Amino acid sequence: MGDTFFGIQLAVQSAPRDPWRQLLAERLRRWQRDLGHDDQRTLFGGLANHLREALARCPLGYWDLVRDGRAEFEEWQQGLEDDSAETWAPDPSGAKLDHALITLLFLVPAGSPADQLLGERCDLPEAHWLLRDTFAHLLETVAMLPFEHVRRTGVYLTPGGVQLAFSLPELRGTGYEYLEPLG
Amino acid sequence: MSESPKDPETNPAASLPFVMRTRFDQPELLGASWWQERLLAAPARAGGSVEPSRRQALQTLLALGGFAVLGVGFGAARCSSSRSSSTQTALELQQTHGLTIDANGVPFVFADLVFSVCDGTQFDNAVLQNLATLLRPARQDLQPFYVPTLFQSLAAPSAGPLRNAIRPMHNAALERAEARGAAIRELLAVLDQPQTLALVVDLPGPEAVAFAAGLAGAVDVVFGFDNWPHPRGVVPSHQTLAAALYYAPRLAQPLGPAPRPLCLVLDRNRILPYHNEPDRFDNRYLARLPDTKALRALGITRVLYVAAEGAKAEEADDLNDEFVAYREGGLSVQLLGTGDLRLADPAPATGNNTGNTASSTSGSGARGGHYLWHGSPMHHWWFWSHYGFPHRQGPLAGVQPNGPVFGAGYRPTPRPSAFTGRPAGGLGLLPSRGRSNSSSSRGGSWGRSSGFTGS
Repeated sequence: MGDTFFGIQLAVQSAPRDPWRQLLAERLRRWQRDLGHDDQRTLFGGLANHLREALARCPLGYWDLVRDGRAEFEEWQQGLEDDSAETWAPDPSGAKLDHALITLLFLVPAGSPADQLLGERCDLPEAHWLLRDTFAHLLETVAMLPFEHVRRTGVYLTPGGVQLAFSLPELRGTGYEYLEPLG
Repeated sequence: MSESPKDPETNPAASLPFVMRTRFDQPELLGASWWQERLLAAPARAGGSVEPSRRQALQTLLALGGFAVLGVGFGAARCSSSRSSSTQTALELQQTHGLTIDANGVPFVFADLVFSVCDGTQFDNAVLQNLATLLRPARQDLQPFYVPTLFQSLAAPSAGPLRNAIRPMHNAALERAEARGAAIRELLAVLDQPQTLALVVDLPGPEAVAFAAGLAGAVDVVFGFDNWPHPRGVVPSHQTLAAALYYAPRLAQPLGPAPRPLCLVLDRNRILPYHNEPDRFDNRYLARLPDTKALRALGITRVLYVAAEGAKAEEADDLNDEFVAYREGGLSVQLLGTGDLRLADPAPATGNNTGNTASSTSGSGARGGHYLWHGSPMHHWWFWSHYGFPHRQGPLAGVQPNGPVFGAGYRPTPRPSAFTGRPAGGLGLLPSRGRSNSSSSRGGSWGRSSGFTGS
């Protein structure tokens, strides 16, 4: 059995130079190095709390849990990282530029305690999948992960510059069709 | 939850389980990814992409192999979403059920084991637990291309039989390979813009390691060994490990001055023929190399493929797609045969002082003797002129060899092989064994599998 993929992406209303986003960026920069298990727990626990605070400002989101999902992990990662190769071009439509995307990615060995935790906590009724409360529950799950049993992790903030931002129409448009409105 | 990152100076990376593999801090993207190498994953390429043709190749291989288990590394990873969850690759089987699964008591067999390592010191078996870390590229931007799977196998809990049997390995073939690597290292001293060059060393595993050791210090070595050894393995990877143990001190030595070429090291035995023999364990795999975009991002414009003596003047079958893409992407791709690196002709006994002797141009210092391109100092210093690489004048004026040069006129061209061609309904992975996992098979997935980049 292959590894299990777990990923969360949230579109957060966050204007350029929003202190919340600046703090998030500082948090990410601080941990850009090799990490221990406790470091990972602290990083992702802190991120989970940080994102939970902003859930009310998240109009769109997406999450996924895929068994045998190594390919999904790589597709998410590759897709995000490929963005870094293209110069940022703000939405020219004139719409307000005040959103950012934050993505958390995990790959855990099948059958491991981390896999079991995800399996138990992500087994939710479909009607609840897109509720903010569900995202809060999922972020809480991130903070609970036993990182001794997590194979790969990733965290990405798009755009990376806190002076830049998406427009909401942009995130509702081409290329982001998978993002769903949160209830 | 408080955050108090430990000081990296007092918390060395070597001791930390999550190794940062990619890092971004730019207007477009801020973030990072980590791998926990000690969990012994089949790592995936973080800096490139896999072409459909390679996936098809995998499927073709599987179709050809019947029920064979194929350790296919990244190709398998990309195929995994469409694969039955009741099958596993060879690597997955070994990771789940033990490195020596199905060995039936057959031991690892080594040859030419020694008790000391390349710097003359006694072998210290402490290196068995940290070889993957020891040989990790120093440059962070190269770490995504490092495939430490083979080195990681030594630290697996189930690797006791391997750890008990393995020692450093050394023999005349390795000395020769090392000396050939040293010959290239000598030439690199006069190469201009060395950072634009990527060597792809594709030799039988132990010799690939030795060749890299000959180059060590002058290049950034990135290993790409993506399987685990097995006593009955098609690929004798345990010997590659033994050679790596011998050369580990050299390979881990401090690097010379930057800029340096990149040196990607592959095991040519990774795709040895296999005909479904029941007494063999198919631990073969497909090579993974940075794609054109990734190489360009590293500033590389030239690829020099180092092929084994006696090999065909072309890249290995599983590299064909990638090399054609390199060429089509505007990279220069050329070929060097190690057979063209020959033991230096005996020095002339005339006593003239023209510096026209092998020893006068030495500096390579390998114990296998002084190897030179086409066996002569004069031809040797023609090397970069032959390949059209910008360079400075060497200690001697180069002279074009009289005889043929291996791979002259080589140009990567699409060709059919077991690794390309028809898409096949790839059945053939071995049924998985043991219990199923307990996680839910369904979460919040809407079945999306692409279109994520939003660009």
